[in-house]
Amino acid sequence: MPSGTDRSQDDALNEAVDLDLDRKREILAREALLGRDDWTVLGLKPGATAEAVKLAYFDASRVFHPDRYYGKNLGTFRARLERIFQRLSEAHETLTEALRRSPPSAPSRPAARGAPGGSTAGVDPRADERRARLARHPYLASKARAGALVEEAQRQMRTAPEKALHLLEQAKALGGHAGKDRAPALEVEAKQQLNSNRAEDEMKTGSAAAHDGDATAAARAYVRASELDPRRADAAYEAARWLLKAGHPLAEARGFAQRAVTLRADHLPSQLVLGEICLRMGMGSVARRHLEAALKLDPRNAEAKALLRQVR
Amino acid sequence: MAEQEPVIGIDLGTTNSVVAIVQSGQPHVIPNRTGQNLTPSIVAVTSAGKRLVGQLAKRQAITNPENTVYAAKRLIGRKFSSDQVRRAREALPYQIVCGEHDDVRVQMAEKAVSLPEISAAVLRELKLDAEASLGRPVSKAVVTVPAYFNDGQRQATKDAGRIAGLDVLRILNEPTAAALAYGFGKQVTGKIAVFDLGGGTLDVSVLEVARGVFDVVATGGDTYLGGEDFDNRIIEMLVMNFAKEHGVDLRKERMALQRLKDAAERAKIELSELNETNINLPFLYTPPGGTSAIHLQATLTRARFEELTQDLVERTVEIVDKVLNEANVHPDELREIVLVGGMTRMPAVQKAVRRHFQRDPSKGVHPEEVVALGAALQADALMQPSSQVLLLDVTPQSLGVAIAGGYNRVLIPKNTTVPTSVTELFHTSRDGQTTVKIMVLQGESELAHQNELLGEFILSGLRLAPRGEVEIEVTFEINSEGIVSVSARDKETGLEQSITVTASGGLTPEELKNILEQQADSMLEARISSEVEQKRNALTSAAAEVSALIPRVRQLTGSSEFGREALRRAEEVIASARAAAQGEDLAALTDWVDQLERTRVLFVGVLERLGARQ
Repeated sequence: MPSGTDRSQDDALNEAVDLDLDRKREILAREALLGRDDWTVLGLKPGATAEAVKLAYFDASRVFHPDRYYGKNLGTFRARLERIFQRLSEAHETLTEALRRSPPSAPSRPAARGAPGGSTAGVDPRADERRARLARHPYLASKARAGALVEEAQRQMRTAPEKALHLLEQAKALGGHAGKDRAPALEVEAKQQLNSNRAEDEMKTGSAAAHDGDATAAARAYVRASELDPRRADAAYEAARWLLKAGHPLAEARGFAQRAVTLRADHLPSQLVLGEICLRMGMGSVARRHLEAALKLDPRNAEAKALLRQVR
Repeated sequence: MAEQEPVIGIDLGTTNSVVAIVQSGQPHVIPNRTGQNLTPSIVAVTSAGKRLVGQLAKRQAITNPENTVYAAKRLIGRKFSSDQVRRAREALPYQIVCGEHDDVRVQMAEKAVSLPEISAAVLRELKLDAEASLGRPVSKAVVTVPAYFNDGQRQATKDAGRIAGLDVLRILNEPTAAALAYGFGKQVTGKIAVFDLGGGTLDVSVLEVARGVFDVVATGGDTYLGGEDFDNRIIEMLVMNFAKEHGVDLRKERMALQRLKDAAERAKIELSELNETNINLPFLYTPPGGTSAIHLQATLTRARFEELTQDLVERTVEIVDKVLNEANVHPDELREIVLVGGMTRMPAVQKAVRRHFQRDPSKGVHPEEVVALGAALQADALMQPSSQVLLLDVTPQSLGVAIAGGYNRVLIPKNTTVPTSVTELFHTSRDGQTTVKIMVLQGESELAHQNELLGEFILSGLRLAPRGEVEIEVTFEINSEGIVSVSARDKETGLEQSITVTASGGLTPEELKNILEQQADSMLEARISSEVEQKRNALTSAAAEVSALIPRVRQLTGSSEFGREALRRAEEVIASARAAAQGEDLAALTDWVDQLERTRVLFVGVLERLGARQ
């Protein structure tokens, strides 16, 4: 490298802008790669999956998108960031489009490279060596790594589903049997676990807000809980109840009340709240059905009786 | 340590506006000083000269229709002479006048008020609400606009912010904001579509979301399809029935029209939950000459309402299709469909979306608040380095330059992620041309005059040379703030001219056509226009396909008069098309490709029918 480039690098590192030295170095290092191929620009090895391309693009955007430095004095680094980000976008788009047309199905590229022309003899004395070299090739090595990641994810599943998801995502990017077949199945499980953990958190948030008398916040939390875990009857019931209290549109509340009743037909408060919502919406016959169901559960329930009188 | 200045997010809507903020990492709506989350986007001046905004303005609209301005968003950033404004003038009870630069002004009391001033009054109200709630001054905001707003409309919205004393950090697309709020804190991964049917516009966006990054894949919509169109269908029906019964045209009665508008909106909202609603407008019309007033009483069923608006609902789905197509996204790939905007409460709209995507749309977002929440999240993401949210937005419309022959050469296609820049080489279009005019266009049409002119400039001092010898490099750039700049450089001399697009040109198509004709001598020519090249290829392959079909068609139908005639015409078309392929006229090429395609379809159809019979 001519010393001129070094000097301009030094100048850039010394430039008085709102960036620390590490970030400046990171930006300059990525800028130096912009003339290279699309994989390198994104920091990937050739042959990565579309999912890995997307995540690499997103991760790089987090660092290089100019919005991450909004309102800061960036000097020459603004133009550098814009250049880098544009090149990242192009690389992402080109690779995504190419992978959409022909997803990487077989290790055709590495294999082809591993077999240079020339030796046509039946027994190739260098075959073993070539096989060993192939096994070290990123594509094949990655298979073994994917398997290890999936196993680790399985261990983390119950306690740390978020971590498991992250590991599975990496495994998927690596491909192979573990990455392609096992990881997606486990991913579904991990997401369910994650959602049910989150739903539990939202239920707590909701109950705290309810305790403070903030109906809107309570409704919001319970709605989220019911969405995260649609099979949770208590979440659906609380969501309906608090949406009603917070004065939200009745149609919204009705959806959750209906869900609560479907999940737990023998839960009297759910029947009551659905009955009341239907009544207010002018759906008399539906309201009656649910209020009568409530009375069947407890023939002396005063609230159900009172509401039923309003229907008639 | 000093607390950072609060930054708010504002959804400046056609009918209602909402303001929100992120506090301790969570976005929430700031209620206005009357305790409501929604502030009507209405500004009025009373007979006493007092300015009213929001609920207060709405409440007195019926008695003061001429001085009550609503739906200003439909007019902002538009030209007085545009079709849209002409249409709006017929429907709106307040008076619209022409400003000095063909801009739209509203006559309020004695004053002609500009649209940015009206929107500013709403923004100022929201700013005051936020200040009252936070107990601190607020001077920075992110404001949302429909994705399909053009540069002029965005600039005008920014101006409104400035007038209201707000530094608008960013103009954000509404469906993007909605997706941001929807996906925030949810760990959604995958593609989601946002269907935003508001008071005045339909916006559709497709986003890819992972790890807090929101990547807009495509966006589109219709700036003239929204809740008010649905209201208008009810108004039209009521007006027609009233005319039939009483022989009176209510559209000429401003006060009656205002009451009809209110009643129609209310009826529409009620029909989202009920199957039937009554419209009662006592003393709606007092005939001249002292006879007693006429009341309006009508019943509207949901079925009838759906019938009246069926075509509108169908149009919404068509637009969704178009956007998905452009994004190369198959409906099956979508992880979620998020419904936003008050109009999506209408069951028929939900049903259409469900039928089209074969699944239930996502519930649980508050359709009227989600956009403001998203704006607040983007404001927070910009100001807080620790924020996990990053938005990768796109240009909603294509940007190009006018080239010789009156065509538009697109340099930055729509849905390109910003910031971005493109450089392309052009050359002079005639002998001895010493100046070129660079006209920057926004829009999707191949024909230059059907696009919006954003700005123009001249590059002069070119060398005297035969056509095509002088090369000019044109660079388009959109920076991270969404500002467009264009430069042109004479490759030989290094002479350079540039503009930053700031104000809206906003000429009518006729005006633009005239200008283009006057400037015909100083146009650029695309180097080897890739459009021409593409069309030529399409033409050649279409001609080959038709030629290949001819022998079989002759065999099957050659004996009939119809067959002989069709074959003769087909051969003519092929010959003329091939001749046109030698030229560079894009319109002619397009025409011949179409004709060949029609011939091909005809032949294939004939072969199928006759082939099946054999």
